[in-house]
Amino acid sequence: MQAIVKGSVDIGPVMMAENLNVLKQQLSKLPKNAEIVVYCGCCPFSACPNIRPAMALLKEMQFTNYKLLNLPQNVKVDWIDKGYPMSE
Amino acid sequence: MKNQLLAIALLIFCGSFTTTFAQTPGLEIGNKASEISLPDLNGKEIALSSLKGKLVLIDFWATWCSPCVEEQTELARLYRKFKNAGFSDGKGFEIYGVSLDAKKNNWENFVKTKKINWIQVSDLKFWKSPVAKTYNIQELPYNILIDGNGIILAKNLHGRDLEKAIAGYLVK
Repeated sequence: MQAIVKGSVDIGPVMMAENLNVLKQQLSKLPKNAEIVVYCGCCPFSACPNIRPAMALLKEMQFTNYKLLNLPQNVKVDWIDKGYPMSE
Repeated sequence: MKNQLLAIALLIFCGSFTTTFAQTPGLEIGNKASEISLPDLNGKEIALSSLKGKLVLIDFWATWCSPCVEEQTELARLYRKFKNAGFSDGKGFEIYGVSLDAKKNNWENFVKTKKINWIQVSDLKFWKSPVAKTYNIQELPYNILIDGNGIILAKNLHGRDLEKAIAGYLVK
């Protein structure tokens, strides 16, 4: 994967343990009250295999200020096609 | 069905302009499919237009899309079944797989492990691929069936519907 939303960091599909570890390492550098926004790069919410592991990890690591970006269909339709800012 | 009716209605409406209409590049059934020319795993560019004369399924997919991955087995079966068949508008069936992967490793490993033997191309630009924009792809998997002249015959058919559509163009 690669980051789509401007300013975001590409973690990769966290349904895979290796990528979930990447997320864990990134998060370990942040204070527990850091504002964190998660988004899914592949699929509609209902079918995304990555959101749940990411949110579960945030909860488990006791972060207090995390959100899920509302991309009900996918990042193509609900972000790119709307002309919102993208990473280079 | 609704699309077909619309296409028929438009063809009648267009009358003597039918040929012009059919050659218009676009996304609807009856339009000419826009050109795609992207590199394969060896970096060699393969143009969709080079498949002229064959029935072609343009398969938009990615290894990060689980339903796409599942569908590859079915596509392999259809490819075996139809690749040398004669169609009303050409000889042979080809699949032009366009991967929206971002990492070459993922794409290459999957193609090699699954022994995918049809055309595979990608610009490795994920959702930012210009092709995703040209074809207004809103979800994966997504596919388009085109005839030997590059005219769009059907859109986003899967499973039995796809097989029936392909079989419908076999030489009787």
